[in-house]
Amino acid sequence: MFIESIELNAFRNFTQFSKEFRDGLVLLTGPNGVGKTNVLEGISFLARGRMLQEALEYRHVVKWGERHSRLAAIFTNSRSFSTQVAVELGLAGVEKVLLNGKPVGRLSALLGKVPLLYLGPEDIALFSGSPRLRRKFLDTVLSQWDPEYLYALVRYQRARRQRTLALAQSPLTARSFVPTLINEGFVLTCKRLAFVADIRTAFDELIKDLLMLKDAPVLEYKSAVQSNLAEAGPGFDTYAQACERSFEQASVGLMESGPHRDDLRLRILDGRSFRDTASQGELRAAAVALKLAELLWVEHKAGEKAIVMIDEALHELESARQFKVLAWVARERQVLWAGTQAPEALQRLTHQGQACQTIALTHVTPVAAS
Amino acid sequence: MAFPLPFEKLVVALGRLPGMGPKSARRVAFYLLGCPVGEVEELADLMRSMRQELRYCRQCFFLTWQSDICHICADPGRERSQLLVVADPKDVVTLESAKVFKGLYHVLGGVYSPLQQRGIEQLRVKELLQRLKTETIVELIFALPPSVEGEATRSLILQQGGSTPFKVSQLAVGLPVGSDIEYIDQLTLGQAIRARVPLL
Repeated sequence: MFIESIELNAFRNFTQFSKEFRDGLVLLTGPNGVGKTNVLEGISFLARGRMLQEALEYRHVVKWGERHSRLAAIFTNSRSFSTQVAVELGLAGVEKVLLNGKPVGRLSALLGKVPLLYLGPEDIALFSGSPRLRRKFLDTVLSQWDPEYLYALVRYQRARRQRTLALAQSPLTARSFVPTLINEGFVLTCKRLAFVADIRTAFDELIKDLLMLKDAPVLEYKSAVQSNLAEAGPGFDTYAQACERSFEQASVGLMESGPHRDDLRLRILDGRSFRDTASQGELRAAAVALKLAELLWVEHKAGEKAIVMIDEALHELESARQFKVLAWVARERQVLWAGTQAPEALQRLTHQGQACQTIALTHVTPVAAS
Repeated sequence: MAFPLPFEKLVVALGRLPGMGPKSARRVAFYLLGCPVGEVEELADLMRSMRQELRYCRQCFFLTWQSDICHICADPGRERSQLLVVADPKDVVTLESAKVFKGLYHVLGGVYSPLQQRGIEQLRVKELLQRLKTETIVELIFALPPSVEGEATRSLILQQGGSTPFKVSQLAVGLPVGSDIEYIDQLTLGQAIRARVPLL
């Protein structure tokens, strides 16, 4: 799959931006603030119905002073079949979503259509940062490709908000949200466990290759509800009982166990955490390996090669690793690299004969008053 | 441009109605402005009398007129051992249009939602529990919205009702009748497969 063209009208800093892309390596370059990340934001929104910065309000997405934005792109798959996606936005939200010119209602209609991997600054801190980052990683990838996961996540989060408010009024009535928390928590946990089991072999090979290790750290899903969950899927009754216990033990106002407290961990062979023994560089490489394992999983789900977008993510890797990663992802894939200049790894690839399309963005010069 | 005050006040009042945005409110106000005075007065009278004359049924809290008991509760032909719990009076109208359910209803007046500042005491749960004690109920059927709040309300009722000597059920979820599988979303299909009905 690759993005053939994009058109952004009154979107972020652009009044009008349109560009055609070639399959393969694409370098989006220009000075800071010119809108490189905004192009990637537009692609992300059209490909998967969500912005890279999830908390961004629509009134900040629409160009300042305008009331509507229009985004459109053409994505073409390996069988040369093109899909046209267009979204119209107002200050309060999405107004229209069109697939091949036909209105499809909501943004969720775009889920699972275009395989895309975004590697941004936050991703590089996946293993050195807080568990919240790792949960967000799991939620983002699974919501994109599994409607049941997204449904369970939305309901779980809603039930948690309701319960937290209810606790301030009456612990007894707050209990009424517990069955939903247990049911949806169970769905989320099972699907996360299955995902980790699915990507483990790929992650194992990728991290061994990146860190040149004989024994790779083992990727594990740690449930706060039950430490010894079977990856084949925990039994519902066992899970529900453990949850009930945690709800009983928790004092009013305290967070109970559930997917909102779970974590992804790396364990080395002697049982210690990889985080306690690894250098910052190794943790960054492990994060990249996890994202690449995600890439393979997404491609397996989509039955298509994914579009890869890299934005300020690989700079902190040492140059040999940077080259290895870029050479690996650029194999048979469209890779959009956003940066102020071409990185050494990309220059090496082009010297080796790989074609690269360079798109130089410049600041729009204000028209001088006559 | 500002409109004359009576017009603006009507637009603001209409804008408070559910599903009515400022543009629609202005359109309705312009329509009323262009109507014959008699028609507007008739509409105002109808709204006033609806508000004054309609009340909630003493038993099930559906709407009733000229009587304390609604036409469903007063109907001797209804099956009194089946009680169907709904959130709003409009749900009764929808369910009645199916002409399948022949039992009685109980309208809660909403669902429990701390986020919307709707506590359980604002719902007619106490009245429902009282009915369960005094009436001869064989089956209690929940037709609450399939939302987090609908489920919490059902869970609260069952929790507060204690042990239930009657059958408790809820409406089925799955494929709409006559629908083509091709056009059903994945989520609904998944639920329909899980809730499949044995044939043999």
